[in-house]
Amino acid sequence: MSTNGDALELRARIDFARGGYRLRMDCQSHGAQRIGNIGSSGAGKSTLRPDDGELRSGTELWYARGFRCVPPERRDVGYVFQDARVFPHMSVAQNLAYGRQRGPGSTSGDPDTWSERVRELLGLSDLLSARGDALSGGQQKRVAIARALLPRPRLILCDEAEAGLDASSRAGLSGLLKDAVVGGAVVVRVSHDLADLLAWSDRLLFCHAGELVFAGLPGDLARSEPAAALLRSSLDSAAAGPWLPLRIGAKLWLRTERLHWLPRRAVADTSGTGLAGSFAQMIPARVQANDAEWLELELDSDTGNTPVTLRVPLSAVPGGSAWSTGDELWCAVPADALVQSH
Amino acid sequence: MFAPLSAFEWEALLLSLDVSWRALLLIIAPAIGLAYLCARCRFPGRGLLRAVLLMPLVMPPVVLGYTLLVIFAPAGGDGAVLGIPVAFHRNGAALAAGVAGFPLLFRSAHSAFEMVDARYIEAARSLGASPWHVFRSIVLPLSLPGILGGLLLAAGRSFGEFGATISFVASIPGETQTLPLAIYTLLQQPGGETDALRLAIISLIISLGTLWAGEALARRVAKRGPGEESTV
Repeated sequence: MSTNGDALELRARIDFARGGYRLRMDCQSHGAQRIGNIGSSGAGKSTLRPDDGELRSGTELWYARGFRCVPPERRDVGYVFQDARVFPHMSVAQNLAYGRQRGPGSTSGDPDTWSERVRELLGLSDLLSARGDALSGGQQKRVAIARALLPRPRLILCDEAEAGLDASSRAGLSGLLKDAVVGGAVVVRVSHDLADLLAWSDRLLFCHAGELVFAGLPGDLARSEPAAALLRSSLDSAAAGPWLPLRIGAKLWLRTERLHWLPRRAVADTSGTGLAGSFAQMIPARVQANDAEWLELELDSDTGNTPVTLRVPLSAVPGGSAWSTGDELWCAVPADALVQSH
Repeated sequence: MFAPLSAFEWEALLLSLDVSWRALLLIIAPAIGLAYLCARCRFPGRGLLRAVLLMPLVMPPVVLGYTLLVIFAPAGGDGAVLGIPVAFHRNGAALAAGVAGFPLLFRSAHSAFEMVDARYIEAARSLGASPWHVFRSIVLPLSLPGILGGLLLAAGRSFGEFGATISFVASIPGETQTLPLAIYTLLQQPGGETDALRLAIISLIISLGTLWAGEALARRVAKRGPGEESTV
């Protein structure tokens, strides 16, 4: 296994068919430490893992069919499974200790401080003596996350780890992943939450029907066909998540029946321009500027007056958020509040 | 009828317990090991191996005993295997009882191993456990109630073994004449019915007691809290 310092370089090459389903992917981490993996259900996100196809860590072959390679217990991978898989016959403490047998992990940091922090952020201190099969679904998920992170592995695979977690545990998880990345670990997150992954990843993978349709910087996702087309269609069907990334200059329509989130003053401003009358329909608008707190929209009035600019605080949009990818700043609001134009 | 046990009865009873205990010791490791192999590993001839191992369940016990005789005590031999006396010896009785009970333990352990969710095994491997450690810490504890059930059935079968024993090691008082063989011998003697009935009742009580104790044990194992092996 490669030692501390240089970032873990991963390469996964998959080509297999099972029951009429074919999966073909070839991707590399290219030095990225936060890899997001998105796609609709059944797209092949979870299969992109060390058990299928071929996985290399640097020059070391971790897995390849028909080859003698590193067995799973020596791969230094922390796997948070989609289903928690907490051992039912053991206590929480024993479940957490189970991952320790591999010995101290290879990322930096003090193991005792780390285990203290993991238990605290995931709220496990009171659960230590409970039996695995006596835990609720959310508790099991927390135990599974802690169990995978405690050995401080170099590669952390989170398969929809945040599903079923309460808000404070989610925050705890993202804090722990941040620490792991700082410590030198590579984190691969599988999720349906596009806005979250766009904001978090430094490399994004987009799977569709067993193929990798996009792999690159998150900011390039919308520019890449067919990823963008698939993204639009999945956003339209609202299956993948109700989010729209709003880049500067993006044209969109304000859906008037959802405008109740607009601040009162903004509505008053527009009513002075004759826009109020057209509120029954959708108003064309363009993103003028955005920052971490504000979304500035220029509304095209249909009365021929000068365009009206709206500054909408993202805090006024339920679920609205902003993030930066490299030099660009992005905003996202729920897709049912705004509709992106072509 | 209600007199204390005679020396003859004590002898048959203790011999039976001794033989079935040895029989269990003989089969426990191979039955569990082979069950694990057949349940969780893929290899050519797996189905055939399973069928061969289950054979004693469907074979006539007399044929089983005769087969053992041919294999372990062929004519002209000294009736010993690796220096251990087998033919017409209580070791032979234990072997016959063990072979008869083997498929019951094998079958229960096999189903118990198959029932263990493979996802736990995958999780354990990903956490750094070697295959042997996974077996000890995950597979065995999760399938323990099933294995105990099989052990119980095998014990009962070994305790009651008759056909294979009588054809392999005959019915020698104090050496191979276990409880069922003693009952059979008594039934062959004029006026032996009362003594046979006493032994039959003893045998029933032991069977019932074993089943009841086994049930209670399995319940305890299933309900048992986390072991005290290790903590964080």
